[in-house]
Amino acid sequence: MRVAVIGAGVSGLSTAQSIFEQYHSLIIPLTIEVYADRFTPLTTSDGAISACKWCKETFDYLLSFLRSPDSIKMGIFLQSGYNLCSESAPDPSFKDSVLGFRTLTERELELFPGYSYGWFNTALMVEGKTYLPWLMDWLRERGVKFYQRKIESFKELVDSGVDIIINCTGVRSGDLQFDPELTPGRGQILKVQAPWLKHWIITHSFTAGTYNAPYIIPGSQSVVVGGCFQIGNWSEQNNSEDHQRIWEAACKLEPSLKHAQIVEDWTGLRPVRSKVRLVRESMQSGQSKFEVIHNYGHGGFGLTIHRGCAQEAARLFGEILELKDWVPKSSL
Amino acid sequence: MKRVKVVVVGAGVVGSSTAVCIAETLTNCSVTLMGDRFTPDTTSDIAAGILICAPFPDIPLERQQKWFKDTIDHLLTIAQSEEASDAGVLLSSGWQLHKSVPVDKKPFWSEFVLGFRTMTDQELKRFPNHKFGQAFTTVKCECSNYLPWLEKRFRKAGGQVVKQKVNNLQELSTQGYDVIVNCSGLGAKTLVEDSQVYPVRGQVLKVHAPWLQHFIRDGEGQSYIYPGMHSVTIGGTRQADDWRLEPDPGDSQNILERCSRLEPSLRRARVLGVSVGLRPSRKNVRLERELLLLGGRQVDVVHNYGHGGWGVTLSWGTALEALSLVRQCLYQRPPSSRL
Repeated sequence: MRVAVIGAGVSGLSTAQSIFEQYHSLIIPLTIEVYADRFTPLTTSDGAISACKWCKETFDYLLSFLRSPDSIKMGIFLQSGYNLCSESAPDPSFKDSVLGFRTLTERELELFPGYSYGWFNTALMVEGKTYLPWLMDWLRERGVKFYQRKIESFKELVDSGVDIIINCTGVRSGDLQFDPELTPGRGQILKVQAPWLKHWIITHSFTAGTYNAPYIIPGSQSVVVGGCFQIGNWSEQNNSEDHQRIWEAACKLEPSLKHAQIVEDWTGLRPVRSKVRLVRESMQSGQSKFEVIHNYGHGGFGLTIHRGCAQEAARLFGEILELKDWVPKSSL
Repeated sequence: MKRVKVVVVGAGVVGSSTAVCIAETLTNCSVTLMGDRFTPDTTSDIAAGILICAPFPDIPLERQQKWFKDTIDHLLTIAQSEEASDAGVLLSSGWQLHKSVPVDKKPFWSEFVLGFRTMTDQELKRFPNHKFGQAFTTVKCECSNYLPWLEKRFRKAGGQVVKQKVNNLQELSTQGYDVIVNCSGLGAKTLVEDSQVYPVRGQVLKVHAPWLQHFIRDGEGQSYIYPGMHSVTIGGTRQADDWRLEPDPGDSQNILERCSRLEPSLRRARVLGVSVGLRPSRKNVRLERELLLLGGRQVDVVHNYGHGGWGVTLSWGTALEALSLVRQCLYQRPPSSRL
């Protein structure tokens, strides 16, 4: 059986991983191919570093790797930090997907003038630019092939003999199939050198929207400063006004940044959708019927829920196998 | 009226902090910071600089609490300012682990650090050899940055820095100093013949492990992992009366093993260097004044030494108290001696 994954961001790669894990011993041979015009470090996921709000499944999965020798190569590590709000708010849904969740004390809030409420917790960080190469190596070691080219249509793959297509095309899903609910959420970040910062600081503005309020997230090699969330903006160019606005807000939040060295800006287009499209679809092209599993539209939280989504996509894959009698029901 | 001449002996973190407090506050004094060693060659430069403490047995707890609180409040202000990176001051969160539930679950400084609480069961799962833990946020103060930063502040306040070895207090009286502030650390053993002072040798390794964001400290502080600005300091040893300044390869091996058990990813960390410091230890820190007759002159002496492994932790608080003792000395001076 030939399975083609379109898209090599975190969704595409992790879905390939989940499908391989669950079916490579059931379907022999199972050929998995990944097609993309952009690979790490040029995907949207590469600019992403995700904290808090873990879908529990993704969190538990990654947490299990923390004490393993692979953790550094995977780009995962624990980091604590501050969620700041300008008014009190109900406990967030992510409180069960982090460690040591609690509200901030008075003294802690004194560190951040302008904010009157917030939470402290320890979160699992995943650095896209490290995690993706690790995933690619993992897949390559297991015989998955990679092809750098832009797929123009599902038909193209079907005509070449692919049995099931996994559509993880993120923000450009519209090129393959019109989707009125999908839109870019442009984000620009500054990468700075500020090695004295060991905590992430994320502010929440209920008026401006979360990604538009300042956030500071230290990575293993540099600190990411944001935020910006522009719906409908397709520009992948860095914008100097956005740079100025982001930098000023961040320095106000964390005065020690004043002496941080700015390394570069980076822009990415979050694949925003009203809700993630994670479904299977039976399609027809001429006389051929084929199956597509869609897994795209994760907005700004692709890394956060990638494993949970990949596992769901693999479950849908199993449904297809069952439906088509490609594998005995009892073995699923 | 001539200015009162004050000399602070010892340019480690305690001496430097005390010198700054005096120079910035007592503007009618001329203040000299004198030492045979300056940063980066002081004991303070070896210290990881994490604010954590064990109590001295005979000093009222309230007094020690004030020392701790004054120091952490002073450093927290710096951490949240533009000066943070220059001064080498950063917030550090992490965990203190215990193999069995301690009798006293709350150390005397627990209300002065941020967010002090007991670790949850889920958090403890990562440390299978430990049954109890405390989580909190404290400050890390890196002396290789902090001491130069203090020196700048000292000079700005009109202070003079002199590199000179002091053999005895008489020398300083002969040089005309009216008040001697003795922050000589381990040097007090010979300088003022204090037999209670003894070294506690500590060896530390600096490793490259930028993915580590939290400190981890084992119970009594035998083993610890302190992520800093440019490296992670791991340690340690506590060898009383051991004067060896050369690194011991056996100690390095032992430190790496103990710390890797706490944090397995350390096995993949590259070792950048190893250093040794002799903690200037004493049963209780000596922070008091006395009036001495030195070379025919009455000289006020304020002692501020014997901080052991808690020099950085108590630096500003003890400096402030030393300042108030110096003030007392000045108020009590007979007018004739000021001419």
